[in-house]
Amino acid sequence: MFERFDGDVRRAVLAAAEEVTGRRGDPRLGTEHLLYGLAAVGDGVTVDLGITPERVHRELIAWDLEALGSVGLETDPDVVASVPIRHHRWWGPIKHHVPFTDGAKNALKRSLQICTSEGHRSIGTGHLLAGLAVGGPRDPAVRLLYRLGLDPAVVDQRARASWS
Amino acid sequence: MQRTAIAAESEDPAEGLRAVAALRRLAESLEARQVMTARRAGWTWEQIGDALGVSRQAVHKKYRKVM
Repeated sequence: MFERFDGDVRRAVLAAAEEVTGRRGDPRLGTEHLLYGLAAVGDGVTVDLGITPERVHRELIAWDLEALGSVGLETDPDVVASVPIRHHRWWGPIKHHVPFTDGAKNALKRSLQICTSEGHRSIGTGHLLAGLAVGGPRDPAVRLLYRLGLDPAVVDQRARASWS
Repeated sequence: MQRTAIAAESEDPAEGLRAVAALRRLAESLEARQVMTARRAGWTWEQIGDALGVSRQAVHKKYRKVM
């Protein structure tokens, strides 16, 4: 069930990932934003697993609040949730193409490798999800999957099952 | 303050580093809002820069386009 419109899917995921990066005011596009992008495109395994963009966004804010709390900083959720303008740390407002984190670049590479090793011609959401799920315990998207109540190993299996 | 220091030391790096990133984001957001408020209230770039502890040029360069 992987997608035929490979370029469109990829663009849609990246556009949504870029949008949420800007909206949150994060300086780089990371794996957690890619997971949001997949959820926003909303087809295949992400839907089956209940990974919605709203849940991902909510969980990112909850994680920020917990992280701040863990170093002794109690913060108003509304303050954390609202970043009113898209602004890049040093280079002014975000126009196009937020830089990727190394983790996000590697996740995309892994997705492509998975796609190629399976002998598929075009990369789909399943490949991207599998690439994100195997990022290791310190990866933000993997942490986010746990926070969403999902085992990354199971997510990887489900993603692979989707194209077999 | 002591609680912050203790928490910062005993923390799981994943949470501690995440907190740093969230704080940077909050600081950027707060700065943008305060600079806009100040501009609307008639503060000059120089006055804003002085208040933030940065140069007039730095604050102007960063915010002139979003104003």
